[in-house]
Amino acid sequence: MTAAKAWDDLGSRFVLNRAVERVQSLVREIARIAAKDFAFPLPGKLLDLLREEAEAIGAELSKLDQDPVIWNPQTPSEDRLDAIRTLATKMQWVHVRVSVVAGVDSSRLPFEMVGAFEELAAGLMNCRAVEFILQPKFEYNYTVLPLRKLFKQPAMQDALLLSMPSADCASVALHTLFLHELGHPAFQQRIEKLLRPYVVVATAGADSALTAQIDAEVNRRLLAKGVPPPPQGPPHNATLSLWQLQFGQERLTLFDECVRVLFAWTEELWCDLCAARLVGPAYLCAYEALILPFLATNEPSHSHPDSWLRLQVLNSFLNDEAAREPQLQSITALFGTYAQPLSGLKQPAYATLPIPYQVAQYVLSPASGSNFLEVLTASVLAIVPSPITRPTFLDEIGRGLQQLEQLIPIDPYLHARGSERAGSGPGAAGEEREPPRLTAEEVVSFVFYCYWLFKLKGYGQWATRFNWQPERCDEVLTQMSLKALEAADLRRRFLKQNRGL
Amino acid sequence: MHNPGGELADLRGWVSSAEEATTIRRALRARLVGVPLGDGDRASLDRGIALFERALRATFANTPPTRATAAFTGDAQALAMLRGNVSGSFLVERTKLQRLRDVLKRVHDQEDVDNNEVAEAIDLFAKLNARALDCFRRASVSDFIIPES
Repeated sequence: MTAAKAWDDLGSRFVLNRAVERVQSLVREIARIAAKDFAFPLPGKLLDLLREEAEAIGAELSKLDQDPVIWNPQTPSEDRLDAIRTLATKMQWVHVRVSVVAGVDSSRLPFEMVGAFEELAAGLMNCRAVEFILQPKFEYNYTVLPLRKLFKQPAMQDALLLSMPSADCASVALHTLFLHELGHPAFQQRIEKLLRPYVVVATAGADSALTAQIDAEVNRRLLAKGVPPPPQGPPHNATLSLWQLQFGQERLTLFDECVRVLFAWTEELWCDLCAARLVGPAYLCAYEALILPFLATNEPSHSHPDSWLRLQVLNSFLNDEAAREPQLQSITALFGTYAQPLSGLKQPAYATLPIPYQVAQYVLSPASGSNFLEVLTASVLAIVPSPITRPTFLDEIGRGLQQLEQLIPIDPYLHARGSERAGSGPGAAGEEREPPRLTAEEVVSFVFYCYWLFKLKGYGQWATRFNWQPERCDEVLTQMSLKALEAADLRRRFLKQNRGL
Repeated sequence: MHNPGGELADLRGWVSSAEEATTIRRALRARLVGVPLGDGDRASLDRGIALFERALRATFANTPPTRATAAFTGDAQALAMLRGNVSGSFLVERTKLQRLRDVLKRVHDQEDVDNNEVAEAIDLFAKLNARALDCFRRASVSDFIIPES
């Protein structure tokens, strides 16, 4: 063995030993995180899986240490190092997933919603059961990540990681945005294939209606690519033919782009309507509260339609819902006060936007008269049940609130509020009270949500107990939410009782 | 999957691709250095042969896998790399694919094979390995989280 070769071996073994140390650190880190008392069982299960994976990588590294091929004198050191680095990448992959699981904290979300949302998701995705883990993140965004993408285990097939803005974990009203997110897996599993032909046909229809604009765009693209334009005067067959060929190809490319944009927008709108179907105007209020303030621009993108179009479609859908289900009319009337400011939102200048956006807007705008929107709506109505016809969802919400009420006495607080108003309560005596953490809009939105559900289901006992009147809803529900969110111990008790922890 | 860029980076896929390329490369190296093949090596070679077969079929049908269809299976990602569908990846010519598939078959069946051709196959899987590791490093977990509304 040459000196250089011996150094190769020595260097490779040094790298291998360092990798083994990293695995040991990783296993210790997973154990440290797993020691946390998670509110739900799933994170613990995931961490167990990750610890097993990390240990398996350690075993593979040990096996590599004895590999007769890898350490054969004829094997170049690159083979060894690549083998070690590939295993190290697996470690990094475990590390990435640990970071995802380590950030979960279900206890910060109003837990009475979780069970209902899980059941709802199972219904939407047409599967037996869906399990959530919840992760506050430092982004003004709601996201959903199917855990099957992170874990190969069959148990993760229908588990979802949902994230919400950390600063607004307590803003229960915003969480109706989860229902949009739950629409994505439902759309992808059940609707995507069905709607694709309609998307292509609708794009073709728009293509006919917007031919002049599309041709102009194709010409512009060809010129930008340096394709010589067709000669003026009598046709010159060869050049004209080349132009025509390129023109046809470019037009097809543009058509494909239009289909992709329309399909992406269709999915987004489907998810919007899914959420609106489930919680009515409460979704719209949450949309206004979280999406509108953080939009970089009101212009659309390849993946998302602009808010103006989305709100138009939502508004139209909610009006139709009220017509379809008279029981919803009172809620829709309440919503009217919310819809008013939306009329001030400026419509993007579609004619100046890229052609795919013009095509998608043409197809999806309620004003365009395209029947594609009817198809889209029909697919929502076919898959997404109205709360009226979904007693289990209502029962879940009702049961959660009922259990919450048993744990958290809210009547005394309400009496205190009443006394305070009368000038004799603790607040009136100058005692410092914690200010409400929910904004007025959030409360109104949540009230819409709960009021709607209670009204439809006719929870008489609630009406009696709280002297249930619409004008008192905000007071009762706000205090219930606040108390729930502040009472971490009670939350844990609830979870232990109901989740078998 | 839904994602603003229209493309999906799947870290798991890249890890699997890198791992697959490494195990096939090891099996080929075993042949070169004269270490008898184990069952694991033969299974790796089987998967390598299947990968080439699929790449050849895709070439024949002129239906290159897109990033979307390649997602979530490491093997498919490797296929995408072979077909040149991943940014910065390399195209493997059809005749070379056929030749290397035959090399893998002969190594698998312990038939005579030219060592230079085995070395060429090893080189291809080394490139696949490097590309997969590179893609993993450049990808980020946020790339495959569905963004809000």
